[in-house]
Amino acid sequence: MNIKERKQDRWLLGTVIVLVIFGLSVLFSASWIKSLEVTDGASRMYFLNNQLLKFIPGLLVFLVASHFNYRKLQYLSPVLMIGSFLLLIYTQVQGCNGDSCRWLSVGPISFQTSDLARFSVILFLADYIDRNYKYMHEFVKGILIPLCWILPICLMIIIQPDNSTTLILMTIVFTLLFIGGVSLPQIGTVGVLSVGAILIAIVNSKNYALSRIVSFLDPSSSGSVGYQSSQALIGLRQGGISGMGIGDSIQKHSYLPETHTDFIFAIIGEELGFIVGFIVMLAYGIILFRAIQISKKSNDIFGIILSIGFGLSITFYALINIGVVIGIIPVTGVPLPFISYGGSSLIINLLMVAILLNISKAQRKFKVKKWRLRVDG
Amino acid sequence: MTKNYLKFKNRIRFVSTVLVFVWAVFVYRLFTIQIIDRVDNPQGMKVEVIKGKRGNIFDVEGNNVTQNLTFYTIGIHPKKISNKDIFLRELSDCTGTDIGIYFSKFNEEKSYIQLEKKTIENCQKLKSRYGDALVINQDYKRYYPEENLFGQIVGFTNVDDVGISGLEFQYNKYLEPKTGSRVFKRNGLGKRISDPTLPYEAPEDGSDIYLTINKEYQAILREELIDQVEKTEASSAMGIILNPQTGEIVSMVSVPDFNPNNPEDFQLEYQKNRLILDTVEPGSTFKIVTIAAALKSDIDPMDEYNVEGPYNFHDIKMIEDSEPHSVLTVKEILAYSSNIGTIKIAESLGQNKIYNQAKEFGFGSKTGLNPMGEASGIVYETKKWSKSSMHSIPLGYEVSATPIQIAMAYASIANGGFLLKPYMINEVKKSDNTILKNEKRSKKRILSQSDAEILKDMLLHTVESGSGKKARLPGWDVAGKTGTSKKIVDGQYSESEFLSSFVGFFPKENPQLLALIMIDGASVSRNYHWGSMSAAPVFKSVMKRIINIDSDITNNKSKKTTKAKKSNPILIQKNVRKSEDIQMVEMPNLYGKSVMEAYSILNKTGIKPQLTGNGVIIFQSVPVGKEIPRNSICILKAEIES
Repeated sequence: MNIKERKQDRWLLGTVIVLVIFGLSVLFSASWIKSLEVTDGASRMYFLNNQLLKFIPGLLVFLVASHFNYRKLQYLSPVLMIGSFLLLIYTQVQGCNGDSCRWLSVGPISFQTSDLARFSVILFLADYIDRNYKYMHEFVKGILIPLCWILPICLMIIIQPDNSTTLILMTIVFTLLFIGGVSLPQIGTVGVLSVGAILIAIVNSKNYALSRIVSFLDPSSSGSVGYQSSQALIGLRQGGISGMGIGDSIQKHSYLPETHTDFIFAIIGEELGFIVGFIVMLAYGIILFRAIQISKKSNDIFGIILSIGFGLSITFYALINIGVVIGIIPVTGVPLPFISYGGSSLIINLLMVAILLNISKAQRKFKVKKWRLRVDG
Repeated sequence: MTKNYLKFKNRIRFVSTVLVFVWAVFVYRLFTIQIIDRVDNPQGMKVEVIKGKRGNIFDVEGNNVTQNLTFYTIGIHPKKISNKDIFLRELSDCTGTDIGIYFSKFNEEKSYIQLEKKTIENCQKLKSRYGDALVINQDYKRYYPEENLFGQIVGFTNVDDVGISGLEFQYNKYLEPKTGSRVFKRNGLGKRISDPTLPYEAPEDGSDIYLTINKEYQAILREELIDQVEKTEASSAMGIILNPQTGEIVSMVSVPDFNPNNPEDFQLEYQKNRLILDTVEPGSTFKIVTIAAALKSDIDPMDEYNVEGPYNFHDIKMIEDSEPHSVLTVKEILAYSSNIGTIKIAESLGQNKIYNQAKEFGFGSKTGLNPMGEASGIVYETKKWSKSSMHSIPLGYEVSATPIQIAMAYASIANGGFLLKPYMINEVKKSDNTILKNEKRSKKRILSQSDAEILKDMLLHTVESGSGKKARLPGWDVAGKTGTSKKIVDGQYSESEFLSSFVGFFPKENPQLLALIMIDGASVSRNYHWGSMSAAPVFKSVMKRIINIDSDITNNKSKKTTKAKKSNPILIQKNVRKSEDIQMVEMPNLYGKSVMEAYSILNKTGIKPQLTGNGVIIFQSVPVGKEIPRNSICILKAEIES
């Protein structure tokens, strides 16, 4: 093969590095009080240190993936789908920690299997659309077969229960199917039906989603969920345009819970103000924009769908996390990519960025040849 | 753009357009929250006021004339209290207030209720249990341990601890503490977040005032005046003792007086410092004006005057002496207080000399002791004098003077001719011991040394063989002058209401103490209306007791030295009671009692407390059960229970 490597996408790499470094400092500011609580006053660094540890596997995955030809992933796709499904079942069997069963523990390492599932589903769709692009407008090949692969995974995530991840995953799936060329009436009908079904399942189950929706529709109903949301808003209002200063958040002093994960953006807004908050939002915009640019220059359908899928995944998580903090979306536990505390989401997001960079490097490599192959085939 | 991409271009463009739109909505929303709805006061930030202590007032020996007792205000946030019955019972157990009162004040609707305004219990145990729901603030309340003794001098404060009378008012700006403040943050659980960068302004205690007044002199003078008022059936009495060499006032009393701890129970008339506020017609004590003027005009003290009465004064009035004489020298005229003689001398001098001399002695102008609250008295200019003025003014009528003015006029004779500015503040000391204020001493020569000596001789003669005999102190040369003036009742000089006075000083060679005694409205029937009969004996008994307790007062010329402070644990107030009626009392057990309780127990027993600290008594200098004389002083130490 005539390999002519391009340079990898520097904008994407730079944005992610800045976000990661910025994220670590914000994480420390947002988590030291909680660290003291967790460690009984022994350490302010507990969460920061843990997060730093997660960078060992994270960077390893990143380095390997960015040098690993992404096209070989295509062969892994069915394996990863089945593997993710089995791991989700194993997670369920293994038992629960607290009231949710999202974590798979192997020795000291625990991993949120739904994160891996998200990666696998996007990979699967990229592979599937690549193979079946011509038949995507057909109902059976365009919708039914992919959903038959994906729905068991969604089901396993729903019973964890992790509704928000399921909803995001389904949104990604339908968006990718839509981009992949599925006929609009069909996907519209199926989309409405399945989202409706998921919502009914959520509302009927005994979990806490209903109260979140209720308190979102009526913030004055004083539940702990409405409290979180209003405390996040108070924090943002205190922050103003330039913030109260790094480390000077008041909300993190036991007013706002989950400051190190779901509500970390509230602390950013409070301590650093609107301008920095806007820049953070801009950063996620840049990531999506670069993902689209990468897909534009990609000459195979697998690469195109994969880039768009990864870009959408990161952006959706960011938008939903921020949407919760600014009170547009009901409270759901979704991490802010690269910033929130949590290893599995960090590792998967780094993996996605690494693959995006890999695609960007290989963009023109197979251009002519591949195109011919497709036409010939 | 690759060809493959073109297949997806439109739908990708559609999806990204939707996302850009959502993104823009989010940015707009964030802008609205953070910039349009911006809040400047972060939640959890509060400002706390920290009160300082009001400065205290001490007598010349360092005894507390005022004290600050620690009190607590207790308030609650009813909404934060889950079980009101248990809470109110516990609070009632702590403060001792009836639980019914709390129940009637309790109202769930309010966000804050004050349950105790001034309690001595700080209830820290409850505070740790109920945290934020309970608000306990420390406050101070003024207390006057000497009660009536300094009432008119020191005055008192209102509920907000602002001085409204006496020195508390005059020196309020010094005594007043500077309130500090502390900004603090609370976390979501109501606990304080420590943050050294938050603004903190330390409170500053008020400045302390050290008086020249001597508590023991004060007690003696007050007691003797009260006794004399009873004995002479007078309506009131006043007295002032000062050092004629310096002008420092060592005692100043008028009775009836009042207790500054509960001024509302006393008439307003009893609360004022009459010695500087009341003006009187001085009567015969004013005759020194005429005599001093005569000496300045070179009239010899041994010149003789015919004083046979009655003397027809320009057909206006027949003047008589209380004790008829035929011929008297100038010296004797003063000694026997001859009205006829004084008028004859005055006539020979003329109006201006009398007027000028009166002004020189300080009559008609403020002494400067308390420029804000002091009367100046009246000496009319000569052009306003009527025909009768020349027989009235030399005798101390038609002029008005404050007692302090009379005392200062005599002090100028005692000290050899200097009119001094009286003072009663030694120094004002800031909480960090820097001295803010010393009274400015001023002196002005108004008499020549020799004239002053001659006047002293005359006044000595007055006491030795004249009207002031009852003021004689065996072994001491006392100089002085009596006065008896008719009071104006219903616009006319009364024949039954008199103001009797005596002003004297001793020892004549180096006067160390000068006292003015005035008895108001003493009974005429038993001749107590004469200054010689009612006021002079008080001078004598007061001075006798002072000489007994104060070894610094000597016949020698040596100057009075400042006394070392006493530090023995049991101070017995010397001779405050006459020795025959010393009562013995048993010392009660005060350990563990609150300051207020201790004060009321000691008050009943008749022991004087001297307290340091506040809270609960942890030390008493007199052992429990010990028999000690009434009015002994017991030193108490108190500490806040931890």
